[in-house]
Amino acid sequence: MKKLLGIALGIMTALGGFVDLGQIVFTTQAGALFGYQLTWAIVLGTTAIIVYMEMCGRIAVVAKEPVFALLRTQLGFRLGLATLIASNLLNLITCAAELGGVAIILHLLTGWPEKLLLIGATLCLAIAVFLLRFEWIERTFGLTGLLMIVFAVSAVMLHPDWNQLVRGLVPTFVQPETKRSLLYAYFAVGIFSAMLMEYEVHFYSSGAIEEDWTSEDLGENFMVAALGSTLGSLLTIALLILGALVFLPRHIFPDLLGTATLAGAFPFAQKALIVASLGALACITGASVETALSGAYNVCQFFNFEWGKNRPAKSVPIYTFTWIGMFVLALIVALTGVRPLVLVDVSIIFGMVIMPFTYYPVLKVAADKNVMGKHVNSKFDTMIGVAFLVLITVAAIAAIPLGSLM
Amino acid sequence: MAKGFQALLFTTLLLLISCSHEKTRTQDEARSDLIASLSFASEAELLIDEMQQSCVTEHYADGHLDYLIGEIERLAKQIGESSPETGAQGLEHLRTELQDLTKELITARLNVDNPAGLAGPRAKVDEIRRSLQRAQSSL
Repeated sequence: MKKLLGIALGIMTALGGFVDLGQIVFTTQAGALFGYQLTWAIVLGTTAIIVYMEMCGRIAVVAKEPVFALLRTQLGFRLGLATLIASNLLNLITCAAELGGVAIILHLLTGWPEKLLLIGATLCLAIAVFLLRFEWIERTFGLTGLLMIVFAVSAVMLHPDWNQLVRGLVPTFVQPETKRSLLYAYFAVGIFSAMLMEYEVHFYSSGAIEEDWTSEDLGENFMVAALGSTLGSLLTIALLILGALVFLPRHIFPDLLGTATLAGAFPFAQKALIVASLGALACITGASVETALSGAYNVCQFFNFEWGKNRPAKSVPIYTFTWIGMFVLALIVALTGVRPLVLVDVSIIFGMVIMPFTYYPVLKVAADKNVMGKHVNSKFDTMIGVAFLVLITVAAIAAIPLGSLM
Repeated sequence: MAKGFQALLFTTLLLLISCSHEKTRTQDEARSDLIASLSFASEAELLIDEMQQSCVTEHYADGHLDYLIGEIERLAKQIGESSPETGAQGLEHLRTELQDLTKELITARLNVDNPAGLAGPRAKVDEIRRSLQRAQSSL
């Protein structure tokens, strides 16, 4: 019974923490432009994250190695260091975007000055992270993120065309104009990238070690990765539906966070808008914490410094200093006034470009019998992993020209 | 050394002069501007509707209108700072429509707590949206 409760809690936490600012905005925009035509990109991204998240958790349990320790051993010091710098730059940009998003939602909820809220919220988050143990950080933000379910309820209440949605599982490569085809490709890559953001697997594999998972937890690892992500992807599909039903017929391109949140409560009244805003706030806040902590995990794991949120701050000084530093730098970036959604666009494309360097070492180690023993990938796992790695690499190559065109 | 400095100064001046020139707005960019303007007008209409039905809180309406006005002003400024390429006419008209839209949203913002006062801005925003739609279909 206790085990079942643990799994349920893990799945709910994964579901609540699945969506972030990039997904909220990017998917709603995709729905507003292409209706249901990009549903397949969400399904593809979900399958890929399930496959790789499960591998990361398994490696963490069996080899006791988090992603960035693998990166150093598998890619070598130089390429590993380049990946570390790129990943942490990405974490910084994403964290700044998420903090900016937090301030926007708080401003819409309270009417208080945005910059003041930005500073206050960052300070509160840093204090919360400092005081809470890892599992409580994960649960607090993950479970409050469940308020995002109001987006799914709204989507269903608006009576989507389910047949069209199912048809969206097949890519529509032929678009009326070349520019629209490029835009379609850009959003396909963007959705795929937003669902596979590196910080999610860094945080997940570090969490498995923080929580001392053993081989007995491998079943829970699979259930959390598979069910949590699948339910999370349903929430992402709901965002696509809302874009398609609320914005597409009105020719609105939702380029503001408040616009996307408005859709989450569209068929309902004021209270639903508050719930939708709080849900989005929880998800975005959770993502800002995950990116800041990921930055610290990455540095410590790569250079083999002591790390761990559950250890006293004094015994892991570099780890503590790094995550605080991530928050401070992200706050400075956000305070410059750069729009969070511009940062999101940059992070999604940049994230895609460096993605192969994160996922390749994971696949290599998970398929290595010497390291994984009886928990090594099955042939099927490796085949699927390779197929997704090829797809990730193709998307990474396509991301640069597509990003520069938009 | 002095020659090198002069060359650097000259290049910098050239760069500054070239940057200060009006940017030419291509036909494609002008079309994107029109689509963005139509999106803003439709969004403004949607938001005012929600305000009239009390579906949004006052803080939310006020804050979101403020962000929307900021975006519209940014686009109007971009258009104002550029000159149209041949075939990309109508930008001045578009800028006027955006300025009118801003004015209506400011009025709506002043009536956040007064749904009855939103009827005027709602009707004018609808007019602007229709005009932009006509411009888009004539492209």
